[in-house]
Amino acid sequence: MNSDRAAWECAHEPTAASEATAPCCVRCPLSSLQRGACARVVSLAGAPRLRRRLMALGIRPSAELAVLGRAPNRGPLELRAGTVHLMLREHEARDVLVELADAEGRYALPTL
Amino acid sequence: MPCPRCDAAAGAAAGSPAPGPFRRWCLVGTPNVGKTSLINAVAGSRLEVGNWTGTTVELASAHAVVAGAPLQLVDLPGAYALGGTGAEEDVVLPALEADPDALIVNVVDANHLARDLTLTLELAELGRPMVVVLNLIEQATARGLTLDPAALEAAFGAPVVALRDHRRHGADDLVAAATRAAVPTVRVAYPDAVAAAASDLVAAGAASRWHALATLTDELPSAALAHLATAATGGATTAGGADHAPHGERWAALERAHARLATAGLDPFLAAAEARHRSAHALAAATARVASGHVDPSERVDRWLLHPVVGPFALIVGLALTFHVTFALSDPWVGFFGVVQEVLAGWITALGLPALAESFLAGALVEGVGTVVAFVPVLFVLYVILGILENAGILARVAFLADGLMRAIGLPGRAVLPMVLSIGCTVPAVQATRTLEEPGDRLRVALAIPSIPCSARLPVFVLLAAVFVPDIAAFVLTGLYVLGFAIAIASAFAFKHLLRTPPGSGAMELPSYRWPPLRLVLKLAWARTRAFLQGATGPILIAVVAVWALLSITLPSGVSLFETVARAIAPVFAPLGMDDWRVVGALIPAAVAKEVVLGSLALTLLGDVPGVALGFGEGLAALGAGLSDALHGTLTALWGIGGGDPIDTELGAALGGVLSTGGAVALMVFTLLYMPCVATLAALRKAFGTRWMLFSIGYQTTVAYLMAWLVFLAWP
Repeated sequence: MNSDRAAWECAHEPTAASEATAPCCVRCPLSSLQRGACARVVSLAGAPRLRRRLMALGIRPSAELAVLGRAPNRGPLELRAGTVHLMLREHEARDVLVELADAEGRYALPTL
Repeated sequence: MPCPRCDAAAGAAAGSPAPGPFRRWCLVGTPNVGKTSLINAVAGSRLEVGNWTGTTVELASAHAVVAGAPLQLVDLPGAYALGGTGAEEDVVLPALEADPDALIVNVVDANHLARDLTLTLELAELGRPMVVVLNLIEQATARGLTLDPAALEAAFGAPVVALRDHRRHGADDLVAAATRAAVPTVRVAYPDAVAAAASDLVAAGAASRWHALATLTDELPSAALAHLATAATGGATTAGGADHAPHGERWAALERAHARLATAGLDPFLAAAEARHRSAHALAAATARVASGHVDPSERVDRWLLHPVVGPFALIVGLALTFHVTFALSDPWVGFFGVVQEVLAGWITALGLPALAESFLAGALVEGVGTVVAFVPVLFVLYVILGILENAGILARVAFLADGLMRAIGLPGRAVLPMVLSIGCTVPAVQATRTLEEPGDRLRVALAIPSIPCSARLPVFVLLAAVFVPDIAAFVLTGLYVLGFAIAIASAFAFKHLLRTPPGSGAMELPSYRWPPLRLVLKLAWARTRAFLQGATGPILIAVVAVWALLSITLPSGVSLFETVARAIAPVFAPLGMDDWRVVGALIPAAVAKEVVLGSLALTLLGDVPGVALGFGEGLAALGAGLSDALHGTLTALWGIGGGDPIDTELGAALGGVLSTGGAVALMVFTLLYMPCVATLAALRKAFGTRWMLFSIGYQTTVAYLMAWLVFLAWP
């Protein structure tokens, strides 16, 4: 329940409040994003094997992601990373830290 | 089983010159990039499928004669990175290392250049001659990409071929390019510290620049690291080399390199991956110009198909269609082969041979071959459907939609397909487990699904329920299906913990929808069906002949061997309420196919039905009628399957005399769960080995005994 609340805040606050200083949005797990959200990858945790796979599929630090949808029954996320259209399980998405774009599509952290 | 090394030896013995210096091409590329289509286009001959030695990973290969010389094409599993990010990919690097003289043909998806060229750059670092093929050009053009293969070739330093389509002339371009194959000259711009450390390791004897970088970034599989450590100590310590062998030239170089990187403050993994990605991006930018604002039409389809509400409905309809088509299209042909079998038996009876010879030919040989052949239509249709679903990009969507629900019962989303198919027949369901990504998942799903009642078990249930529990027959039948599924799910859960299967990754591409290459799908389906027959014919024939022998041999005392054996094991089943030898005996021949329970009971309770002799003309007429029925059935299959067989009342009455109601229900439960039929066992053995096949026999029989016992005790 706790994480759901965080998801709500992260997904909606930046668009509601135009200031780019919303503190909860500096970093949140990819799993907390709602459908339609755009975000930039900050860092990848998790086992080396998963990390390699994510990197190969285009989920790499500073890459931009779009959450296209979420499957029913707490199923995987549907994402677009660059040209790649992919799915990612929720528990794997928890290992990906992202930063949300503000209302103008800008990011608070400087590009790597 | 094709083995690159043995084939290499065979090719060398033939002694004829190969095109260029290469006798073998290894095709490497990301999943769904069309490697198998390309092989088909170049070879245009019979594709062969088998498993990589010691793995459940499928290997497709083909032999061709190109420019008058023999050439073998090997399809390596799809991979995003050489370091391996999944079970299939782990095969790629060892396969390339085992085959140092092969040409690397890297197939690149023109739609995802930056991603695919990252793998290309990794391959380039192996320092081996290679050719790059730009594939799926039509799709890329439709998406507004303009490609410049010449620019990529200039930057890359090895031939680049743009394959417009897979027709003959495209293949010719590739063959021409192969004669110019070269070691790529491109160099990834790594940070200085990484580059220097890698050069250090290469100087100290690392197999290639890729291996040096992989050592730095811990990407090598642990076995390779242990090998490196052993090599470093001159092979002096062989046991536990990786743990206590920090000496020797290479190891010292590795320590120097790590120190250098630590000073530079770099995470070698991220630094190397970033550098490769940047270089790949630069190459992609030089090769393709993208028209902006273009959305992949697949994504528009997915807005509906993967919709949280529409999606699950689409999934259910899709699965029902898959099931229906698989069995409805093959059923008439199974029926036709049954007619062929009857006609052959009739002709044999007409020959007037001695009784034993006639019985062996008609009852064992024709029966056995018929049992094997009956699997051809269903497996072929299944492989065609799987091939279409996989190549069209639909299987990935099934995985997406079913993943949430299936993971609730501890299985990956793709397991939904084998589970649904197993309601029809366990054999194709076991074959369908190959669509799962992790070998551990394949094994535990394959071990779990024999508990799900297949259609062969249904007539047994229907007859017994109609005779013994006529008022609650529907309830009992439903209960059996629920029990079967519950035990399958519980088994999959238990095996997960017993086998300690590593969780497969759910990070998977949703490839663009595309029209599947039908000719290739048909070819592969036939190759896979053939591979199944090669493995299953022997065991099925042996089992059928063994059952025939059991039923035909009469002991000197005048009692048949079958009766003696059945009477001997009958007391074991007394606690389940089945103490009549004829009931227990019926379970033995049913090891061939579970519906045989009924035939066997009819034989012992009602007596033998003598074979009917058929004249040659009559037989031909029956064959003709059977063929016409099969054709008609295939054409009408899409409108529904016909009703079941009528209930055999005579057999029902006879059964009432030898079984109590509780015993009959226990018999149903036992039939539901006990050892899989011999064809399923052959499929399990082919995919996972004899050990797991034996395990399945023991496991299923134990579970069946316990459950039947519990049900008998609990029956009011």
